[in-house]
Amino acid sequence: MSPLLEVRDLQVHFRLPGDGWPARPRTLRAVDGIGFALEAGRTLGVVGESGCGKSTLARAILGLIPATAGTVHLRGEPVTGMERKRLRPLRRRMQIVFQDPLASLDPRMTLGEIIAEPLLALRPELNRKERGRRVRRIMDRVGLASGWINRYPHEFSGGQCQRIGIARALVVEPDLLVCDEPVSALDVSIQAQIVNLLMELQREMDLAMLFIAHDLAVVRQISHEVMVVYLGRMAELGPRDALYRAPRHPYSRALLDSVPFPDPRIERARRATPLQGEPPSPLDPPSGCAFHPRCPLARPICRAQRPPPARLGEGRVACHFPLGETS
Amino acid sequence: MKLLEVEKLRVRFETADGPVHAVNGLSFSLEKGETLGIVGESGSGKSQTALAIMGLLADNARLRGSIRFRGQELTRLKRNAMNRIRGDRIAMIFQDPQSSLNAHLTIERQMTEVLEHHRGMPRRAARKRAVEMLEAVQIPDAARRIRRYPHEFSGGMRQRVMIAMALLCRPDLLIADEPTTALDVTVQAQILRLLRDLQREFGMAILLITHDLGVVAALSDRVQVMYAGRLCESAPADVLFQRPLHPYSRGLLASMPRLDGPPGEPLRTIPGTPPTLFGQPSGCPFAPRCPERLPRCEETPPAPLEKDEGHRVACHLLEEEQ
Repeated sequence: MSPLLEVRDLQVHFRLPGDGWPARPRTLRAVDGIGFALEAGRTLGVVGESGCGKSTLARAILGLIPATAGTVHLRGEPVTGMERKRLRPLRRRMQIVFQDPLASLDPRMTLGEIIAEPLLALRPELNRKERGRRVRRIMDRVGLASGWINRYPHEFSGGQCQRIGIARALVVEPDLLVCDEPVSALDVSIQAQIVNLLMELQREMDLAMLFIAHDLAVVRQISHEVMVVYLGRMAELGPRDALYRAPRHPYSRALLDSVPFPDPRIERARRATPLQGEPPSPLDPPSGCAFHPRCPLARPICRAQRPPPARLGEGRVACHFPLGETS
Repeated sequence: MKLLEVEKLRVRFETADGPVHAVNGLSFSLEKGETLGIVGESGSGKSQTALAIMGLLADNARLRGSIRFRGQELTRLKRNAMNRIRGDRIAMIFQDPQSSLNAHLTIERQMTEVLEHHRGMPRRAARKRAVEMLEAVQIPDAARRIRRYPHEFSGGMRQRVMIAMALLCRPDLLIADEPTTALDVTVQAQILRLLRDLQREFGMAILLITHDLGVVAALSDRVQVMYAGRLCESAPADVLFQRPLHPYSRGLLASMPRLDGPPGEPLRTIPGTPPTLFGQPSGCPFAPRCPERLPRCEETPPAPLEKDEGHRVACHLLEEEQ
């Protein structure tokens, strides 16, 4: 049987107006060749810095923006290259939770209306009573009191709004939940509540989860597998423990080394020089390996040739000179 | 003499929905060359404390209490006198460099202006000093790039420019409000390293305001945890991270996922949500969320108590033990 979600060599390019005269349109390669498979009940964490294409990847997987090349299949059915109308039956099987909980909720709708809306759109065969029953059931499940059903989003805190966002996504009982930075706008104490909730819901509903975040500790907490993305390309993909213990790509290593530790003794002992430079523009990606201008291990071939993702140990790495298992 | 002494600071905002109590009787001090990290979640009053010190509170704010800087009372200073201190002896950097850089002026103009205003330096000497400072924050090719505009720099480089500008007059105190929050983690590591090196070089004190416990651990000598505009706990950094005493500090540290924690296990959480600041709770503001609250906690707010030298905690539980 085909995997729940299968993404193959996905590319999403945007055409932008050029500057100068005569203006030549430029191409922004937001996602530049990403592939993976995800099964029910599993979480794939996607980490990378701003502008690496994480959010574009999420939207392309859901068919919200068209893919330039490559394919996305949900349980064998194509998401890419489909007309909007034909995507509709797939929509109830894949849902998304956004970063800014308040901004993604319509301020003029009550909590009950917000959560019922996906049912109205995607499960029109359900009657009013059944809809109400499902809305109340999911509210209870995500920790929203049933007495709040007629309240408006502005009456809720950030953490509660994120619970509303999760309820709205899960009320149609999807197979795949995409979370795009779902906790990065929340306070630390609230973040833990939402991370725990997502982990419980995943187990109960056997959800496949794509969890996109820049916080490496949060991703480690929730993911079974982790993909590191740099400039729209997969740098490394592997089981969580292996990747965090012994990352094979120099960029993964640098990311992990950059995270400040909540322990002053460890921080004082820190000697390693931080990774230099900043991520390059996806409008003007470096030749060869996109990471080569910042890579402490780069050699001439890295500038000349883009390394293809290759199987290594339990994962895959796109690097000409991957780090050893004991690095 | 302490460099900075804040005593019984209160900041209240008059709003259409009623008064908002942002800072509620906060006292702390800072030594020369010391880094104090102030940690707290949204609504803890950490940023308003910084703005109060800078004399930059919004117009609808009412301030009470005392802020002494090198022995001088800042809260009673005239606007002109405060303008002379701000940017010269006390400087501030923000999360978003865009907010403190003028998009219409070159970096050179903005930097030399500071030195002309505070130091009466001639343009040429000011330019030389500005280039040196850009070099100190490791901006490559500083002599040429000083002629550029803010938008021509990347996010990390803009943060460096803002730091260079803040340090131009060699301030005694640098207030850094979430200085790395908007940056990518690899760039954050660069800026943290830079701040540490600059402090070694220039010897200024830093008041670091952040929600990120990792950033606090990376820079602070002492840490102060705030909740609802009040002090929960203040201790040397090592003590606070290893033996936090206040239930809120303990909860905060435990709820943060760590790279060395057990993955896949549920995180410890603090139930409930941070308080709204309309109206003042009669007791400890953390009581409604505290797993260890006593009947007393809902009646009277606890006063900060010195548990060990330099370790202050405001919690009724710990009064019990003494």
